[in-house]
Amino acid sequence: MKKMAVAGRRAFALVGGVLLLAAAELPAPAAAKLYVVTTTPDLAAIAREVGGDKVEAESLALGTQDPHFVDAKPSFIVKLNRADLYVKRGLDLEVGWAPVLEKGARNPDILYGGRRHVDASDGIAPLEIPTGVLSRALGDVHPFGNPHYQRDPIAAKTIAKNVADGLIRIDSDNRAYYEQRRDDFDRRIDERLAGWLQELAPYRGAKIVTYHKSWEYFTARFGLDSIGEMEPKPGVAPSPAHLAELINLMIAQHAKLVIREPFYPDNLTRVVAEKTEATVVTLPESPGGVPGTDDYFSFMDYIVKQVAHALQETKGR
Amino acid sequence: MASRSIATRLAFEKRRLWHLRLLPVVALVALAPIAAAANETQEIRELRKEVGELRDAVRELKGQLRQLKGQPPAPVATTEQEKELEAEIRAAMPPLAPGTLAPGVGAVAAAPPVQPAVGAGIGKSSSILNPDISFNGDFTFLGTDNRQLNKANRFSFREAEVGFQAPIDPYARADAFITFDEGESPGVEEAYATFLTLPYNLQARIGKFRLSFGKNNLLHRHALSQTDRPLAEVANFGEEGLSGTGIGVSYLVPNPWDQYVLVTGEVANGLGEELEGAQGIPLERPAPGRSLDDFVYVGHAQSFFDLNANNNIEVGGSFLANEPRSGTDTRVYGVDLTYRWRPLAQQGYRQFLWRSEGYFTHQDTHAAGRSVFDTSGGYTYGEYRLGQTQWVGTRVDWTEIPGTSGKKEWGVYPYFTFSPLEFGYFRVGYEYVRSDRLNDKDSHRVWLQYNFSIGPHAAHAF
Ligand SMILES: [Zn+2]
Repeated sequence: MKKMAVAGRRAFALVGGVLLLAAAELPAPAAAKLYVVTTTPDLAAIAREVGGDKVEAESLALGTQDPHFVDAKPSFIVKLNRADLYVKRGLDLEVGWAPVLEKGARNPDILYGGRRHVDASDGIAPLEIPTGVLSRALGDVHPFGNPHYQRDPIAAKTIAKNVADGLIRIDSDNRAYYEQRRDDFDRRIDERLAGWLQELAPYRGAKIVTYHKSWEYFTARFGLDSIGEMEPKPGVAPSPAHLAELINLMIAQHAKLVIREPFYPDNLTRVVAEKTEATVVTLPESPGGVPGTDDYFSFMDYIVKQVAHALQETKGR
Repeated sequence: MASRSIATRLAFEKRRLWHLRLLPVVALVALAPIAAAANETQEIRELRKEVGELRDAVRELKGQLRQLKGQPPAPVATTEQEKELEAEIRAAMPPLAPGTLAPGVGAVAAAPPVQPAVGAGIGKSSSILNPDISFNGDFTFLGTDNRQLNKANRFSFREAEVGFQAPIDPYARADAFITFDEGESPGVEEAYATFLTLPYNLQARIGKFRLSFGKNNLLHRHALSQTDRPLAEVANFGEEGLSGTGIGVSYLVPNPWDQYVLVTGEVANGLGEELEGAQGIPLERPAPGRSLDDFVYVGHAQSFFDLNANNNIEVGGSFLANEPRSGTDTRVYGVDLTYRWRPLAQQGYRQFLWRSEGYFTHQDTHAAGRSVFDTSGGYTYGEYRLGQTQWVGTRVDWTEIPGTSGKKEWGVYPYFTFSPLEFGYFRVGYEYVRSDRLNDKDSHRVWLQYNFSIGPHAAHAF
């Protein structure tokens, strides 16, 4: 056993030596671009629009990932340590994982109140702020209101404004550049939004069902009517009793579209769709959630097209 | 409004002067305007002050409102001029250190935060200036054929834990956990301040905390994957793991590969510290003096590798030394390895974790005869998440008992966890243990557990 202790000691000394070497060999800082780290890909996509070639934007969560449940991987701590600007969705979406990373990052300016911290939800009027007694009896509710505002193009303009403000704060020399790009983004949003509204106009009032309560901003913007969710309560796995109720509701109200994000299980949505003659569409939570949706415009384009297509298809049913 | 009240009050003052001062009319006529003017300036000064106070109050309220809405205080754009000024101020300040820092690190070290951070993740809190308060209850049943085990074949409200967490000031945050163990008096499990805004990628802790030896030891009981701690951890550090009162510093090591490397050094009073009475009270007999060797020193190095988006590995090495002048010399070396698989582009919630830790312990009791003991031990467990709410896993334990020659314990422990939402879970497990510490060496143990947390949403350690 003595041998093992010696081996352990040697291994320890080796690890220590490697660490010391690592600490001694430091590269010269060559940060040409500002490094923007965001919690979710929608924010990174918009940061690229606003920051242009002056920034390198990266999201911690992938578009295919459920942004409520991201592993607080130590490699993310290194990214936040190096971040020039940190952008989060806010409204407690990331409460289960981001605080661990922020605390570990040793980059005080990215913490709440710091000049490298951007809460993208500033200036967004949150929907569904819980009223009355708030408790977990209601499920894993978002206590500050619904944080899934990224699919509302008008909210995207607010995100762009917040990101631009943040970039100007840390890089005021390029103020004009960021302002011009932000205004350009706003203009393109206005243009495209007109088209998107037109595309969905024929389906105004169409009743839909979603997996999680994450489509409220979208349905409000495009005049759809979300009548229920697969989840009985936010974050709670679907139960047979709830789904039976949902099926009856969908039949009664002629809801023919079920929307799920790629990370939610599809076996139950299929069952519900079969029983109600509805169509299931899988739509991304964030850019990159499905192939070909890497920037904000292609992301919204995809969603609008898919929803319009599915509602067109089910019209006769 | 304000001007009318000035006029009224001036009129009153004039009347008062008329009635109270029995002076010649001429003198009064001459004096009145002067007196009035004096009063007027006094009034205006007071009003100005009032308005100023109101303005401050409004500003403060605005700030609070902003805080409530979760917006950071309106940041000041750094203009060229301000930058120069900042550089000037920085030059006037005592130098912080030589500039051998990684990219991105320099910014933190060189420029103290313009607007110091409040603390991690406390942006939008459901309470105003109250700490986040949480409660965890741990309810267990241990069924066993071995009558040598404590609290066997009965229900136990094993532990109640109350947590308080909040920023202390712009530079530090506090975390405190008070535990009420069944049959024991309440105790502080952890209570420490973490200093988040130190330069050079440093972070420091002061207080009582779980010492950074290995991976499992840092976890509170309710965060463990199994109902009890691994046999090797218990054999080395006791039923509740290793904690101590002291200070610790950790350093996120900058490196050219942007690899996560964290080294931690901690000093605490000693192993198994149980001190009674208040610090500094007169003693009847002088206490034995303390030397540097009486403290326990813990070092921990940790790194993490993303193999790809779905697979990652975490490795760590730990070291503990305690060589008190009277008593047993202890040195423990630890290694830990965790592998995680979590497909990010998937429907559902499948994931897998495999964790192992090894302990290599050297003890010298300074006794006559056989006094030096080198022992080792370890555990390994794999855990698979079946779906959103269910986990299955198995832990295998093997350890020698430190301070003994050749006494051993080993066990196998399959378990199942069901957690409808992350705030509560049910766990059932069967554990077989063969221990040389018990007369009746074999024991079959059935663990039933329900654990719940209430309070704000907690962030999960990785
Ligand atoms: Zn949500």
